[in-house]
Amino acid sequence: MTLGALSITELWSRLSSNRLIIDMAPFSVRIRSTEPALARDLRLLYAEFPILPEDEFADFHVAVARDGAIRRWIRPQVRFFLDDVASFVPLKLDHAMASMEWGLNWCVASHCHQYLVIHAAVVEKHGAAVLLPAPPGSGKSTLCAALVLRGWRLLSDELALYDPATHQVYGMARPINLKNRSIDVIRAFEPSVLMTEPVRDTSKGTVALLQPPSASVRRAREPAQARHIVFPQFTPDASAGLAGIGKARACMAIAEQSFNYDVLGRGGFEAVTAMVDRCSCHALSYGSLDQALCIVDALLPSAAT
Amino acid sequence: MAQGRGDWVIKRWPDEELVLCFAVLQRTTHLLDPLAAELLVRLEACPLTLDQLVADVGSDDAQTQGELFRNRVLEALAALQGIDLVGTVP
Repeated sequence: MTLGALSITELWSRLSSNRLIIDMAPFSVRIRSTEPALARDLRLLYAEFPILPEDEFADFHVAVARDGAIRRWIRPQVRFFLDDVASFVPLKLDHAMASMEWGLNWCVASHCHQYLVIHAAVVEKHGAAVLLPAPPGSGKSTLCAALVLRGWRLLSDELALYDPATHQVYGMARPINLKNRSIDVIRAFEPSVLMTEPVRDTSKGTVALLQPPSASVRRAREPAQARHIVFPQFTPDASAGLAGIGKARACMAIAEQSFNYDVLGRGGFEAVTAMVDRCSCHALSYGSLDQALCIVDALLPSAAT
Repeated sequence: MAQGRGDWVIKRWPDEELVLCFAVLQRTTHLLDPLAAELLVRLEACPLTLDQLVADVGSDDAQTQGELFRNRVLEALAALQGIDLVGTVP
């Protein structure tokens, strides 16, 4: 059963009584909240995600709840909780969904050390995964959104989970986090997209979450082989160009974008070098999404595009 | 005398000059030029003086002779000391 198959009443009932478990392969998340806005946004963004039986095991137990007694009613704020422990600073009420998304990213990045966790978007086509590691503001999520709106499978727009044992990459196929100008850019790029109402004044500026494609969610359990690593950099008005990067420099850049490279020690080094060994490595500078898409498409063998 | 410090792993790729080095104890990763990587390997076995290192990594090639090359070795050694992969012993 998918979350979208629940009536809004049933969804609300499960969410508010800690009985909602969403299968976000390779993890499952039990979510509790009494915020109607969160229920509405979950219904939009996670409609295609399977839900698990109420008594099923969940990897993470999270909640988004109002903060403090007075703050419940005067300019209310919400906080993200993991195992009933408040994490992060409280955020405005209308940041509830963003708070949950960022909180979930933190849960995975700081707990799931069976993977090398990289701050990267991951898309896949014809069995070849392209990793797009980049610091915030590089245009990673915008490019990721454009790629999945043009037929690439979404694995993640934020966290690449590299399994050192199998050399496969997992995603979770969760919503794409668009920020500031990229919200209008993607709306113009594909007017039919479904996204949450933009919320302003977050720590990342204005944020909207894009519904992940159904086909990607249905294949969320399927990992992919990393074949290409592309470091994107959006530069206004720049012509798109792809330049090769040496493997040693690529490893350094991946290590910088990894959340748990230091935690994994030698295992992290071996995971990064093994991944880079299997991939072509490039820097992509782009000012136009259409040009960038052509370049990323051209990474695939010609018969596959 | 210079001496290698701690455990490390080196990763090289064909057709690439730069070498990646992971210092296991320090949990740090570094890009090394080929000369620095060579020094690191030489110093793994036993401590060596600067003269011994120059003689070890040098060759008959004119580029690996003389004061200029000695200075390059000295710089590479200083770089390795700067990232704590090499220490000194009396």
